[in-house]
Amino acid sequence: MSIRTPVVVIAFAVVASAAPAAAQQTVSEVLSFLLTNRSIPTGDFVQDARAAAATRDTISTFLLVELGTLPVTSSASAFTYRLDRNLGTVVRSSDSFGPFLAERSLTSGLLRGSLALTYQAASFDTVDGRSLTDGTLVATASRLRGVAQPFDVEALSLDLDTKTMTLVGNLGVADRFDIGVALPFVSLSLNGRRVDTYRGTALVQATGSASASGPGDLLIRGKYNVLRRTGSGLAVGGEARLPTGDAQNLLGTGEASIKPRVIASVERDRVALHGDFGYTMGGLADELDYGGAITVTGTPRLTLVGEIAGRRLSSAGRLTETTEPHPALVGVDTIRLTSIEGATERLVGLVGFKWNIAGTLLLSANVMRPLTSAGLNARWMSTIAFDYSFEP
Amino acid sequence: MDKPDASPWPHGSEAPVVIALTDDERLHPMDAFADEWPQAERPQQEESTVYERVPATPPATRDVRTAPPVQPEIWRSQVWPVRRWAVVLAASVVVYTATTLVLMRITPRGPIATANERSAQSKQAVPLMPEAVAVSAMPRPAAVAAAPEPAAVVAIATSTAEEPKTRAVVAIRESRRDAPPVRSDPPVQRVSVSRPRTAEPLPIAEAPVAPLPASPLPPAALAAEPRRVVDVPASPPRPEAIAAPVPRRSSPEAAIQTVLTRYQTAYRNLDAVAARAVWPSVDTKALGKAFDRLERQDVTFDSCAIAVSDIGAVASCEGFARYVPRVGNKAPHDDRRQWDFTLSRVDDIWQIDTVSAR
Repeated sequence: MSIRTPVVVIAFAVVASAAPAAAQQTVSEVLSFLLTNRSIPTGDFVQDARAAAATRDTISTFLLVELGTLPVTSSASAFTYRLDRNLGTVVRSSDSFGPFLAERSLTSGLLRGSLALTYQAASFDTVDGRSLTDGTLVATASRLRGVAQPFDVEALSLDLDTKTMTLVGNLGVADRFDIGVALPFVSLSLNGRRVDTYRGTALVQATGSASASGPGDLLIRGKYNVLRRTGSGLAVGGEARLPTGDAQNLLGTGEASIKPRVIASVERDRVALHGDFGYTMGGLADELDYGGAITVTGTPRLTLVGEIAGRRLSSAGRLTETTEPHPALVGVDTIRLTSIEGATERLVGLVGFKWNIAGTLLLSANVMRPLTSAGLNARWMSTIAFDYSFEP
Repeated sequence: MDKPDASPWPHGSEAPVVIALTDDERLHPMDAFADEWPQAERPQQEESTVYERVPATPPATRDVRTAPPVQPEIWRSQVWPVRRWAVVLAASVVVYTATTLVLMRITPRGPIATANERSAQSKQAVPLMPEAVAVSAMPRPAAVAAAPEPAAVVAIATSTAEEPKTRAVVAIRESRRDAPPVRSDPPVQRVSVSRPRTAEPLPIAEAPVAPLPASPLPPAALAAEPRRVVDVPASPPRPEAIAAPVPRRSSPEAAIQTVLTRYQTAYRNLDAVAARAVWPSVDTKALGKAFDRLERQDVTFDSCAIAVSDIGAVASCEGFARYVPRVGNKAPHDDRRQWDFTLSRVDDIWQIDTVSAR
């Protein structure tokens, strides 16, 4: 199989996935529209708009955080054979194809590279522990003071789906130094409905939908293998995100960021452990990333992966309800969904496999599940990838 | 024709025959019974008398009473040596037949070949073929290790790639240093070599040894001043494995070259156990794992510089390695390499202590 075949396939997929952003209103505008109070007489529409904007921004941040959680690691090092000076023969660098989210310390080797195409789909159904889809997300409400249930409620339901196809390239510019690039193409669709329920009578107040697709933020990466002992070792790396994605359509953050990272790997015969720590500066918020992965070599061509990846965003905010007295009506409180400053802890678990179909072609698949309720969560998020490694 | 038993005459005669006695018979009547006398007791006759004998009882009927014939000495001395030679000749034929059958084993060209064919093959010019390599080694296999201090030259030849790759022939010639070469009996043994994959023919001609102007190896690698530094070109690979006897190499350089060739063979066959035979300190597990990840490997030394000292030797070989991995790109990978070996002699057997490849 020549290198031309996967390149053509990937190029075709990229072109096919790229579509112009939806005209007229952006995803961000539609989301703001759906989050803004329409029918409840709160007496303070400025506060309503402010709460709506804060909520929108937080949900947008959560969404972009999820879009940035991409499996962009390279598996090329598993196809690399290095000379063992003391044995006098070449040895396979690793029997493991490595994890999905966490990095591994091994590098690909001089002029060895890989091209990968990953497809990830997600349908988000909760945000900060609140359901997005069943119409129970209260945006604005009025209630009598001392009574638990509000008498007038505007609730929101959102169907938020993303499909991301990422083109990943990795190249060893030196035996111990890899550079890589990842460019996601994101397709986002949003459908929402705002329903007002007054004393048991429901009435749709607003509906909105938007979709957008296009390139996301470009990711440039580098990794230097400081210490290497067969598959084990230590590496340092850096990652920069360039704001190439359309921020108004929630395809990109709109801000550049950089993340230094440290990677440690310990490999034994069949089992390998990988740890990855990084800190992102810039972008949506300062962010501490950490991840751990265990890989089990089923056969020389099959690797099973289990992973946990955590992110702590220092200022992504959290959704909350605020209660304020109605400025004009005595004994009536107004409840608004808004956001407050605060760190957000996200933790996801992943299981998957990497299978060497033939030659240096890998088929990878995994499913992710959130382990925390914070942020925007899909019940399951699945990824499938093809990874082709090459050498001169 | 028999007569009826009722005949009145004895012996079945119809009528008695009357023979008149001669005068001599009358004088010596006992002579008529001379045959019945024991030989020792027979009365001596000083002169024989010719007389006409009448038909008488067949002598055979009286043989049972005669003494057994005594074989004359001259007869024994002529007959028994002939028998011994016949036995020796027959034994030789049997031994020759057995030896021939033993020798008619796996050969490079097919399963059967005679010793003459084998010898003829050994005298052929050595053609080049990268898939085969000459192998000879100083250390003896375990099967002959118990022999009392022989300097052994072991020639290993495996079958070609087209043949079943599970057999090999090892011809062992042993000789004492202080005695003329004595051929062991039987002179040829067959052993199995684990996982041979490629043909490993045997170098017949002694590799030319030429002195180098200077050793490429650092002198510090040796504890003592090297005695000899020789550049031993790698034996040209040959397409066929030959199990013919190998001229004995007594020089350390030749023995080391043999060890290096066995190293090549082990690596080519992806046989970690065979590698340990010449490199006892190798991490067999790691080497075996490395070999398991390879589908094929070929190691070729273009030339080796060998420096021998009193306590050991170092060898620096240049060549290339070609391998095909089991997982990944199946295209052969060619790497130019240099191997540095340190060797030591243990119990008069050279073995590899360390290897450094780059």
